[in-house]
Amino acid sequence: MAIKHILKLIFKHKSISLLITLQIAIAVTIVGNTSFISYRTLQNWLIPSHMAEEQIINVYTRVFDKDLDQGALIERDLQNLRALPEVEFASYAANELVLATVNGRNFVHNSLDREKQGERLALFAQTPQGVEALGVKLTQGRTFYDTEYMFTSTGPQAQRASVVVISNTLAQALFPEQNALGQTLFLHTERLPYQVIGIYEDMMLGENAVYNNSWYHSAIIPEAHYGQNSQVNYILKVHTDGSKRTLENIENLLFKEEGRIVKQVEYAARAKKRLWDGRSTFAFIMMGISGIAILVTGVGIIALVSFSISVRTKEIGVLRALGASQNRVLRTLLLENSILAFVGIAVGLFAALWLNQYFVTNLRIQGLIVPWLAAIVAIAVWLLSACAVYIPARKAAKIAPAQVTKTS
Amino acid sequence: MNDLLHLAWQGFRQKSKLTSLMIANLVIGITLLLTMGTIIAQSGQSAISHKLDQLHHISLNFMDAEFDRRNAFRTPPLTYRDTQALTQAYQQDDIELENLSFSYTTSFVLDVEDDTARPMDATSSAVDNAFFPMMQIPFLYGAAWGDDMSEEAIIVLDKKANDHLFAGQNSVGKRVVINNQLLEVVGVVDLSSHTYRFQNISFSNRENDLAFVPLGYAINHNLPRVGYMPCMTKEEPARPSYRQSDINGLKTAECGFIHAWAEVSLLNSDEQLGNLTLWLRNYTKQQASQGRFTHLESYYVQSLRLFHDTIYGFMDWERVYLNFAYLLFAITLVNTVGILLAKNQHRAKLVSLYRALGANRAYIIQIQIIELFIAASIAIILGLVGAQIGLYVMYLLALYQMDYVGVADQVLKLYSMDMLFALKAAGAIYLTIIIAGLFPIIKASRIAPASQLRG
Amino acid sequence: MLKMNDISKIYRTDLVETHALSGVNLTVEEGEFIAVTGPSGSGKTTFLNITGLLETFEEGQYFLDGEDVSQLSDKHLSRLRNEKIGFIFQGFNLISDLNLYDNIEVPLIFRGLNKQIRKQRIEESLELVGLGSRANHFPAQLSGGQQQRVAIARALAGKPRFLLADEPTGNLDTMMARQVMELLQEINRQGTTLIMVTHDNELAQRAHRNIQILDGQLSDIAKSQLTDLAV
Repeated sequence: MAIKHILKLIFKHKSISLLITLQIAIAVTIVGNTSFISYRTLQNWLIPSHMAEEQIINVYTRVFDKDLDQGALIERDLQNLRALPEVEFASYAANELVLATVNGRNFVHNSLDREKQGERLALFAQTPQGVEALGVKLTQGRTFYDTEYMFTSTGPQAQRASVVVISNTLAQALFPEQNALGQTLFLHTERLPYQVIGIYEDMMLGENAVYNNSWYHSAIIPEAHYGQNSQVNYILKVHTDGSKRTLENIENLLFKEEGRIVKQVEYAARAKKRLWDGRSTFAFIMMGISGIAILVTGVGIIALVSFSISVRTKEIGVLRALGASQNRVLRTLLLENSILAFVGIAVGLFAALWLNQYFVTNLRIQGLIVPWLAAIVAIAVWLLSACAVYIPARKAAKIAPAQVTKTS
Repeated sequence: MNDLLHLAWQGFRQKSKLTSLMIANLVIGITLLLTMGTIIAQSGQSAISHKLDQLHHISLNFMDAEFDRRNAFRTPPLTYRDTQALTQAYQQDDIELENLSFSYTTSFVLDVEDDTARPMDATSSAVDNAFFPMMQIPFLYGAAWGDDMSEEAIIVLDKKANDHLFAGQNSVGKRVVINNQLLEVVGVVDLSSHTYRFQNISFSNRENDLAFVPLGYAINHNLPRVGYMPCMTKEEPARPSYRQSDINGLKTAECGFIHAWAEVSLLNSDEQLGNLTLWLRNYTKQQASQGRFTHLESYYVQSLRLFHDTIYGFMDWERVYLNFAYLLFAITLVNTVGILLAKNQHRAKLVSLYRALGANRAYIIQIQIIELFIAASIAIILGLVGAQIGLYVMYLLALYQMDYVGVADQVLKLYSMDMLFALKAAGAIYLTIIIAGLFPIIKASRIAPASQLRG
Repeated sequence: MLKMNDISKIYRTDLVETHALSGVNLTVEEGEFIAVTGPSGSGKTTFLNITGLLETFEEGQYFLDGEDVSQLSDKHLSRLRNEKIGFIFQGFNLISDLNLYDNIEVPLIFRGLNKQIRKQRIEESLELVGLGSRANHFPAQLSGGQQQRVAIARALAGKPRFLLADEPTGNLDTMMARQVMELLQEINRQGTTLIMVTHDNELAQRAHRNIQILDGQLSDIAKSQLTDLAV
């Protein structure tokens, strides 16, 4: 049959055609929006961290006994931690743990010009073994000498370091024109100068930096101050991949010290999971809803098409007798459905755009429209509807032409 | 009626494959709709939701004129001096209220004297004793402290803290250590039904306070201030020390940290609120002569209802889910209509026979509506069961999302079925299904008598 | 033009084998008008289905215009049905959702004819059956006799090698039946081969040649015998 005839039949079977179209339209609305919303989340999700997530451990403790000498405590802790058989490296860390920013927002500047906006970064203020605990791989320059490490209490008498190692991406962002090695950059609100002595391969290290889309911006300075508040945190590297037992051993060890509690001991993997938790859960639920929508729509189309075929068994038999091959019957039904699907998809895409607009303006949802994604959704839904039709259509194609000679 | 039921039941059982497909498909739609609907509905519930119009948060806006409050949760708490003024007015009966309570959020490490339990980090509230009856906090052991004990070294523990420190035993009379000081336990409460931490208007639904200490004691012993503590711009540099150490500075500073809740009587609420508002207006006007309260909105009196509504405004994701649940339900309705059409096609003959035998159109419609009602009932019952599972899955996802921060019991409360809501929703779903089903039903009733019997 | 050699068709169920046709031999010449008669269950419908390429068979050979159709694919068979055979059914088998013009057009589209030729043929054939002015009507708006004439027009529009009519007047009253029969005879007189399956001996008498099916076997009979059998 020609498209003309198919269209006529579609208009004749108004209710079924309308129902199929409506169903496809709603499915496209749901799936279209879900993909817009989930896409960005998944994009973030897939950014590689380039680090040993199951070997780096963040330790958060809180010293509640105000009489305790934090400096001495940290020295003791580091010594005890390094004595654990699992622990390879241990370093005190101030406000930045791996993918967990405890305090503050950090900027780095390549000049003293106050007008110029700096780059966001994860600033790791570490004691010896800090570089090793993070597992950075230097591509240029060197790491710190032991004499360059400054470890003092906070306040006016705090000593500052003068050198820094930075990530490759940060080096390029700060010094796009020349080699960053040997250059001076400025840190902290006071804009203190630090000389770049090393550049390392990119790693995704900072929570705040990630939230601000500066995935790979990080720097390590060999200065660590304590006593600003009750928090005393560590970064460790262990050689037992992801073992729970290791976490417990560390917690038990640190709890032996009176006047302090261990709030959390976790692998970087967990911190990374937490980074995307909210948005990824949202995306997963949306994908779940999409999946259900696809399933229900698929089943619905099968049911509706089966029905419309059962009504037309005789008609199809006549077509067969008049010389329509099985293939032609199949093609005709698929074509008929494709026309419906096309209308449904068009309507659904418009509805999806409208709903997306509604979400973005009324519900603070980020879900930018991605045209190629819309195209994929359209094709996918069309394929789904074609598959759903194929099942009853194949049955229809098998209707024997001899049907017509049966007297009813 | 009996015959109608019988015929409807017969109709329901015809084409059982199609019927089960229709029900299965409705169940999916209903499950999703009830799950998402319940989550939204539960957000408007709390242990004191019957006091939504009785409890009012009082704020005096001491902030700079250009301060931007952004939303109700960012309403500035009271400064220490305004708290004193309000207390005085209340004590002198200048304002008449059922109750007035002050509190601030603090944090300390809870420990026991011996080594029987590890110390725990406890975000807590420093409260007056009016707080307990006002918020209807259920005591497991002991009771609230008396009026004269506001500065004593005593503490009320939440069940979770008591479970950790005293293995759930009655700990009244026992002692805990905070900041090197000994406090006597006078009561143990169970906050698990208080799904929101509304005392400091954070409305966190993840965890609640682990302990309560007397407000006077907390201020005397300088227990630190945590959470939202806005200060005027000129005070900004001193804020860290106000939080941690400098309580004397804070007492005269323009920094808000004390939350005031007023309870008005159910019968006199308008009068009492008017009275309170009048006092606030006069107070801010009088203080304006000292250069205070330059902000256009110099005070806020906000009901608990308003905060609940604000929560709803913040549930963006859940509302997206609900919107999609509606759409999905629409698909299942479309399917239902399609399947009903298919069923009717198959039994057009039967209907035309009934008509030929004398059934009028109304009768045919009745049979089919009853039949649809049977199917809808089964679907709704299964949907309710499905929603229980759906809520549990959403609860697991919520816990996953909150990582360590969520307290399982508390989160679970927000993801459990509310029967009243479920009944209302079920009613609405019945109606929707029947309305959607009218098209095929009326179509079927139009079949002319005996028209299908020829040939 | 049409030649069958020893054609057999067996229907198998789990329990029994039914020989619907056994060893059928038949030759039909160009321009003939053949009536096939037989009581119910004799294999008439099977003969019709096989002749019309609506069903396949197990044994024997069937030559259509010299081409052996015994082993052809569905696609090939469909094409042959479309090009060489014009069907006329007892139940008319018009597509109720399409108007007369579209109904006739369907097989022409299958054939792949272009639009102008289609239009010309549809108009010609509608004219031939006397329904030229009603192209836009739907089948339900016509009487049974008119519907059967549309079916004839549809069969003729494809310029088939032969018409295969299955109880063409079975659903019609006497007056209409006569008109339809006269139309078919007229068409046959103009040169189109006509094979008609019927249980009505009176109709069969109008044919040049009579064939009877009994228990799946074919035999030529003289016209005079028809009336005897009818009694």
